[in-house]
Amino acid sequence: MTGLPIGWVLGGVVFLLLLLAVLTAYLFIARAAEEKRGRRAAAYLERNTAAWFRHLRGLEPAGEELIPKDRGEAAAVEEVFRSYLNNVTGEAIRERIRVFSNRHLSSYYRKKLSSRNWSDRMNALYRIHDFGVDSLAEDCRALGNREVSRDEQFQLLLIDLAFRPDGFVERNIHRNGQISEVENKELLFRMPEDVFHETARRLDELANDTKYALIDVLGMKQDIYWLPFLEKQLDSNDQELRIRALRAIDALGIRTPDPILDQAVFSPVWQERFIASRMIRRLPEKKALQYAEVLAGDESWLVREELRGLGPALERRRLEKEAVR
Amino acid sequence: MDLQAGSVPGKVLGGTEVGYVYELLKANVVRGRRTMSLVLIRVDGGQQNDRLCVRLVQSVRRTDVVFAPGREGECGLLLPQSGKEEASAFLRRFAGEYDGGTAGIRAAVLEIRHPDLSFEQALELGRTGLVQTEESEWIRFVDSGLGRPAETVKVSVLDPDPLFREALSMSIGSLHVPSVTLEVRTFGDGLELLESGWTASWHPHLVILNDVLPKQNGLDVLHALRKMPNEQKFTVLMMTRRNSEEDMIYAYESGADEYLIKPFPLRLFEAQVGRLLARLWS
Repeated sequence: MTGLPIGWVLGGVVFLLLLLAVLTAYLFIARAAEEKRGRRAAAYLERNTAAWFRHLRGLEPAGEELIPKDRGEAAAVEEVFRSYLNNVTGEAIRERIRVFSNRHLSSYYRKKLSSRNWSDRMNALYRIHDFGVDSLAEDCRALGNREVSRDEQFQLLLIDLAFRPDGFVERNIHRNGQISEVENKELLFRMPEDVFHETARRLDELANDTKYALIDVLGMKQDIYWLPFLEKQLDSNDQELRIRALRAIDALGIRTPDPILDQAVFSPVWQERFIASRMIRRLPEKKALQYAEVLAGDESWLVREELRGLGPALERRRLEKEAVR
Repeated sequence: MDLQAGSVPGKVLGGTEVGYVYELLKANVVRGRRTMSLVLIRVDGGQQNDRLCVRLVQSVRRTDVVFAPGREGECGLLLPQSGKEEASAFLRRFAGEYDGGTAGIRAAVLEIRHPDLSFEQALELGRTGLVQTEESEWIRFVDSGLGRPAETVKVSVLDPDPLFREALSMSIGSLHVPSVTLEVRTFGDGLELLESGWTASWHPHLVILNDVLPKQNGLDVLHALRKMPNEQKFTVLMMTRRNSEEDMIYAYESGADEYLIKPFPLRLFEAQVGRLLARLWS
C-alpha cells in the first residue's frame, strides 16, 4: 500500500477548504452585487416611471434624473424601453428611444459587446438592434470580423441591414451561407424593397440556403411582379431551385401559363408533377382534364391522390369518349 | 279656444300631471345617462293653439309627452333620450308639415341634464327663450347653466407587464372627459381583479384587459364580468397580440366592446378610451 505523508493529506484538505471558502465568498459577493443591482433598478423605476411616460409620450424632454448612473439603472432603462417597444407603436416614441440610447446607453452596450460572455454579447446585440443604437455600428462590424457564433452573425446582419441598408448586399454576400434558411427568410422579409431587388438580381452569387429562402419568400409575398423571375428559375440546373420556383408560382394563385404547366406535367421529377397536379385545378375543366389524363397514371401515389378531386369529371370525360367511339 | 289641461284626453298633459311625469323622466335622465329636451312652442294668435297641440300629438313618438303649459298660445313637449339636435330636427320637420309653415311659430329648446332643474325653472327658462327668438331664427336654444352632474367612472387596467400597466394608467389619467372623475386601478392578473371587490359597485366601469394574463386569463375574466348582475355597467376593451378574424369574433361574442391589437399607438388608445367614456352619455 502506498503511504502518503499525513502532512500532504492535511495540506490537501486545507487547500480544498480554502478553495471552497473562496468560491463561497465569490458566490455571496456576486449574489449581493446582483441583489444591489436589482434594488437600484427597482428604485430607479419607482422614481422615474412617470417621468419616462411623460418623456416618451412627448410631453417633456428627458431630464437629468433619467440618465442611468450604473449598471442597475441601465438595466432598468432597458426594461422601460423593452416594455414600450413590445406594446406601443409610434415613430416618435421609437425616435426618442433611439436618441436616448445613443446618448446614454452606448458605452454600456460597447462594454457588453467586448464581453467574453456569449449571452452578454447576444443581449447587447438584441438591444442595439431594437433600440436603434446606430452609434455602435462600427463596434458591431468589428465584432463581425471576429470569430462569432451563428446567432451573433444573424443578429449582426440584422443590425447592418437596419443601420446601413445601402451596400448591404455587397458587404454581406460572402456571409450569407453562415445563417440558416429560416434566418435568411427573416432577413429577406425585413429588407427594404431596393435591397431585396438587389439580392434577387444577384441570385447566382448567393449560397444555396439563401437562394432557396429567397424563392420561398417570393411565394409568400404573392406578388405577380416576380412571375417572370420565377419562370426564369425553372430553367435552372438546380432541381431544388426549380421545385421551389414552381411552388412559388403555384402560391401566386393565378392560372399558370401553359408553357410552365407543359414543362411541369412532363417533368421526370415527381415533385414537379405533384405541383402541376395542384396547378391544374385552376384551369378551365376541359384544359384541366387534358393534363389530368396524362397525370392519372403517374407512378407517384401523391400525384394521383392530388387528382382525386377531378375524379368525377375525369370519369365523365372517359364515358363521353367511349360514347363517341 | 284656449287649450287647458286634459282638453285632448290622454294625449295632452297639464297641471300637476306634467310635473310628475317630468320628474320621472328626469330620474331616467340621471340613471340612464340620457339627455332629455323640453321644447316650448308658441304660435302667434291663441286661436291656433288647439290645432297646434293636436298636430304635435300626431307627430311625436309614443315615448314623447305633449303638455299644455297653461298659458294661451303655448304648447310644450318633453322629448326623452333626445338632445337639442334631435329636438331641432323634429321641430323643422314638424314646421315643414304644419299648415302655416314657420310663420308665426316660435320655439325654445332646453336640454335637461341635471337633477336639480325643476319643471317650473325649466318652463321659465323656456319662456325666456321664446321671448328672445327672432324671425330669422325661430328656434332658440336655452342653456340652463346646469350641466351633467359629475360622475365617477372606475377604470381597471389588467396587464402582466407592470411598466406597461403603469403607462396605460398614466395615459388614462391624462384624459380629460367633462363631468367624469376617473378612478384608475391596475391589476397584474385576472384573479386579483375578481377578488378585489373593486367590481362590486354601481359605478360605470371601464375594464382594459390583456387577453393573456397569469392565474385567470382575459377571456375568463370577461366571461366572469358578463355573468355579474348589472353587467351593463362594464365596458370592456380587450388587448391582444392575436389579430385573426376568429379571435376577434370570439372576443366580441364573449362580450368585448372594443379590440386593440398590440403593439398600438398610445394616442390611438387614448382616443379610443375617450370615445368609450363619452359613449356612456348620449
